[in-house]
Amino acid sequence: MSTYVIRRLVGTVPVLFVATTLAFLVLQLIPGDPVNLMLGGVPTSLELRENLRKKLGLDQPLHTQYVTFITRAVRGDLGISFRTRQPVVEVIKQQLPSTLELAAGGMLIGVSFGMALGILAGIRPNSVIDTITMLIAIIGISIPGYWTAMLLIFIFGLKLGWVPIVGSGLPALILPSIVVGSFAVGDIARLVRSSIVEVRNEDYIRTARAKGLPERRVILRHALRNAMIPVVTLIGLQLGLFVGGGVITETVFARQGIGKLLVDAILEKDYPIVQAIILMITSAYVFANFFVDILYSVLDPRIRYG
Amino acid sequence: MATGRRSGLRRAWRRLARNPGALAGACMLTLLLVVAMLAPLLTPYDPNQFSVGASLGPPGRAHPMGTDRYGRDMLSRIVLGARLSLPIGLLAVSFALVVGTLLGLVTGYFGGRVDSFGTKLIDIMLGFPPIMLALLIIAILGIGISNVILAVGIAGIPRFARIVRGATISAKENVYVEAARAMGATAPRLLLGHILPNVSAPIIVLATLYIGRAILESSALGFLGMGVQPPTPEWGSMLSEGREFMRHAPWLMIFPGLVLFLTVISINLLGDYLREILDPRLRGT
Repeated sequence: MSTYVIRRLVGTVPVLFVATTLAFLVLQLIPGDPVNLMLGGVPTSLELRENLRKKLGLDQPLHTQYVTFITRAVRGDLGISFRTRQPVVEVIKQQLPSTLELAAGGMLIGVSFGMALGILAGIRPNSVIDTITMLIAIIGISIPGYWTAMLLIFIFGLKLGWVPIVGSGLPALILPSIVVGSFAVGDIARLVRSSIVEVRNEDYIRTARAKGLPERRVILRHALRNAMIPVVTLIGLQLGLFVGGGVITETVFARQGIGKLLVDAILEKDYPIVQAIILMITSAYVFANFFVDILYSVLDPRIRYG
Repeated sequence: MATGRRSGLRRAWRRLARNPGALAGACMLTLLLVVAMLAPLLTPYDPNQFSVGASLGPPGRAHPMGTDRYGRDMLSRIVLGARLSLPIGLLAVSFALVVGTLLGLVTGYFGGRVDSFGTKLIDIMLGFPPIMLALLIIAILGIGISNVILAVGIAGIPRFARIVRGATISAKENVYVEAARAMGATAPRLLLGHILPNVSAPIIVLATLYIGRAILESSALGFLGMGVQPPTPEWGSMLSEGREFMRHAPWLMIFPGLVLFLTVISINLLGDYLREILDPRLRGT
């Protein structure tokens, strides 16, 4: 087991390396002078600009800048925002809780609804409920997430007035969580369904039935457990969707959060923020997938030896 | 040969007719393509002309989808938007398809170091959440339509590369490839003339399913203000305008969203059908 964990951990290094390099290169590849961007077009003396360039380390050769960037990033220093002049880490810290709340809410809704629909469809393939589930699944992957968000705001927020559409706290989290969760419901339901259909005819299911176990127990204890393996992987891959979904959802709901911060930073050319968020989200995604792989090998020991 | 092809077409048609979802998708998509092609003839008003109706006028006989804040006709703008939103999605998929297929063919065929490098590259790209990759590319290249196409296209490359690589590895062991190689065929000839035609089924299926996603992703970038700039009508940016007037003029966000949704679901229904007939291995995935 430990060799497998170490092997997988080593495997994350190239991805993290590329992510760091890309984040570093963002500032080098953009057209124009970063000093100009930082000054926001305000006319300044040449001396001041040179001082700023020195202060930012932009007068150093590229590889020195790169080493400095990585050393600082490891120490948790990701520079200063061009716009607010606050340390980037502070800005992100303020926005993070809101995004984590949303991702957790979205995951709760996506996984619970997706699994429930998938199980119902899987135990009765080709029934009405199966057709409805498949319809929901295909609608889920075809509907623009930000449009779902607007329709929910319009119907439940503006017309019916059931839930607040702005603010913080649990009630204001309901609609955004439904939107983020809806990105995943269809995919999870489809996969749970096909996994259950596949294991339905396995010998151990027949044995469980022959033992006289109630159907509920056969499905939940025997079928679902084995059907879960591909589902766990999918949920791991979907973590990106939960994070990525935040980008759009936070914008539509005008919620605070990392996603909205990123979109605003790109539009306002606040590159230190862009660099930091790319680094943070990619690392989070890489480690989430790493833990999913480990969980996967616990569920199915054959993986470790494959 | 001609009779064979005709009966094949007839069989495909019969299968399509048995699948109501796919049939509905095909009809909707055909309608949409015709509308997009004939757009300038079909739009009742000039889509960019101010004050052809009242500002924020509700849907009515003169303007079936209402008017926006400048009094522009929404129906005309949505119809013209099809000429932008559809090609953006198609171009992005074409880019992902060409680059991803070449990468997959080369890594799968040559194996060894080329393969381990290519596979690493694919894994690294898949390591990014797709929307992050697209936003990262936009952050570097700047906003604009061509950069949106490139961003969505690049984000799609690893998906094509992975499928084509797998198919190539199994196809290159076939006897006809062996025979062509023995006759002195060069690697490019083998890859493009013999292996590519035999791995095309999964590519077609993935491309169809990816068009819907590409349209959604590029419209999302448009919605975030990173693609088409006003006044050019594009569905994503129209929805972003509609969001501002949701309370008083909900039709500004209902209609563009509905058309976008119907477009993508038609493509996905058709893609599902293609997957069933072309690639039994992908069934249930």
